[in-house]
Amino acid sequence: MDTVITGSKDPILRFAVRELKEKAPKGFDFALFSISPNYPYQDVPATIKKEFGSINYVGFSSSSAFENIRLINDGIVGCFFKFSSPKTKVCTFVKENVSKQNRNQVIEEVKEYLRQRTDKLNVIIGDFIDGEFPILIEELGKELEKEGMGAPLIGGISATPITRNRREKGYLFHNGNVVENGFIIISFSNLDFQFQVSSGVFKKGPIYTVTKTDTFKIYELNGKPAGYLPKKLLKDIENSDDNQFLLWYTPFGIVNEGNEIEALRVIRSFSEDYIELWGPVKEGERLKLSIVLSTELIKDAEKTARRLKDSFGMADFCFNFSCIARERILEQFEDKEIELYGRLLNAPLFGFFTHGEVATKNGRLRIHNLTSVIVAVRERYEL
Amino acid sequence: MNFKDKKLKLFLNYIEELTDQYEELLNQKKELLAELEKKAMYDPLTGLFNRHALIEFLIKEIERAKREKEEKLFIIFLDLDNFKQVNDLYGHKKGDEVLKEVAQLLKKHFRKYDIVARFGGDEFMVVVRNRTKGEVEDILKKLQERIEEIFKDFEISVSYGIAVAPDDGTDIDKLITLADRRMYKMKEKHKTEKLDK
Repeated sequence: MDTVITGSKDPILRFAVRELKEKAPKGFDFALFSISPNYPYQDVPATIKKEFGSINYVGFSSSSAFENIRLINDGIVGCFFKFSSPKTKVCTFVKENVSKQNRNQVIEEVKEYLRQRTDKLNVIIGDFIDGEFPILIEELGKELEKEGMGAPLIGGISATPITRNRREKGYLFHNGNVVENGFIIISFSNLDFQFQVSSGVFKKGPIYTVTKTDTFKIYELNGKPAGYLPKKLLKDIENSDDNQFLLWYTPFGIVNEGNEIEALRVIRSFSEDYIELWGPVKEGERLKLSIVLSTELIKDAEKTARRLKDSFGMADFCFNFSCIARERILEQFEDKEIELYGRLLNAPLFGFFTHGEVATKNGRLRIHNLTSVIVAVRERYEL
Repeated sequence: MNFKDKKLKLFLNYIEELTDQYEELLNQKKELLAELEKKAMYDPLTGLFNRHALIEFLIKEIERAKREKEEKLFIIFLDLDNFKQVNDLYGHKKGDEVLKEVAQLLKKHFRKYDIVARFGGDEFMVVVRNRTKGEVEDILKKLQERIEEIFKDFEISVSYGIAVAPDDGTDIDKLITLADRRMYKMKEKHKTEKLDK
């Protein structure tokens, strides 16, 4: 498999796409595009068609994407796949206007699609859809666990700028169409792959039981109003706009019976009455309040990449879905992780900073915050 | 305040919360231990000390009696006469009620700092200090009369035996055995009296 990843920061979409076309391999089989929400989304399908003609592709909104070890902010990054084996194929499952559909029915459709593709690399990219997508993934994870369906999905939520704790709408693009309020699963056959989830948050911390919640908002912890906690964490810190990001340094981890973190949740906002998270939580779940330092994130990313390299060996290509909160916490080291991944895994790398990562941890598919999911991929060759 | 200082303050606040939560956990642990300890010390039916707690107290009291040679320690073994009949004729629920009432009577007749315990079944033990033998026997007689009066329908009485430390020795097992043996003598006497009647 030959994979070329190339990016452009040209503020004019047409010129940016043209720049990509110049570097793309001739006769590629499939392309993925990470497209800054700064570009006019309505023009994306036509611009791609004008430059590339009718190609098989999936695109998504993302403010920051990875062109190998280079971070491209507010630009476009294309990942072009040229398969070596005729057996290697890509198929897609597109779902739009998800919030207007019955959730259980959507889950059933996805399950049915995945049931036929348990041996494939299934990459899912979705919009946040006002929280519907994370809920869908969590529910799907429960259903898949019941059926013992392994780890069939890896991916992330498209990322758009956050202003006053609200994210701007993101879009998906598929073969000439804009996909609104939906998600796309891209299934690659004839590939071997392995993935690892890196976090790097401190493993110790106080544990609380969620006693009242409405999915994203926690109203009570340990039977007491939850609003006290962020207030206490921000005690004696003068109020300013960047305080919304300060609480990203104290994420919650949903813990299992052994008090190990299963999935992280970043604090999105809070009031006197509640704490709002970027991922869903349920009543009865136990949350460990943790802290995170950039040095620890990098250390864990390095450990994770080495582990993946040791177990997988040579990769043709790597995906990386990393939380936007990591980008923020890494500060001036925001590209340090992709540099590590590229160097240690010795392969082209494509990915983006997400608003939530999709990956299986401890046998259960979940939506994660503050993690970095790294996937090593290799095409199966025939001797 | 720059962002770095804010982060530092956030982490300090986090540590404060961590400490508060651990303190709360520690308090919960203490409460739980106290509750467990209580459960381990008391007889759940009567609320009196159990055999385990009594032995623990007895060890301490005998050590004290050894040190303060003037002080005598009375170890009283009590057993209800005809109690089995109550269980057999009226059921265990009634039997439990009788035991609870006897426990209350024991507590009423002895002082707060005397140790009253249920030894098992219908056996009770009381450890008394700072009294003369005459005083102890007076209390026991009054208790006996009261029990016979209250439970006359069931023909329940009480037999008891007293061992005195250090006069009878300071070995706990021997003292309990001696009090038990003396209690049996009284029980036999009660049986003979009943047959004579």
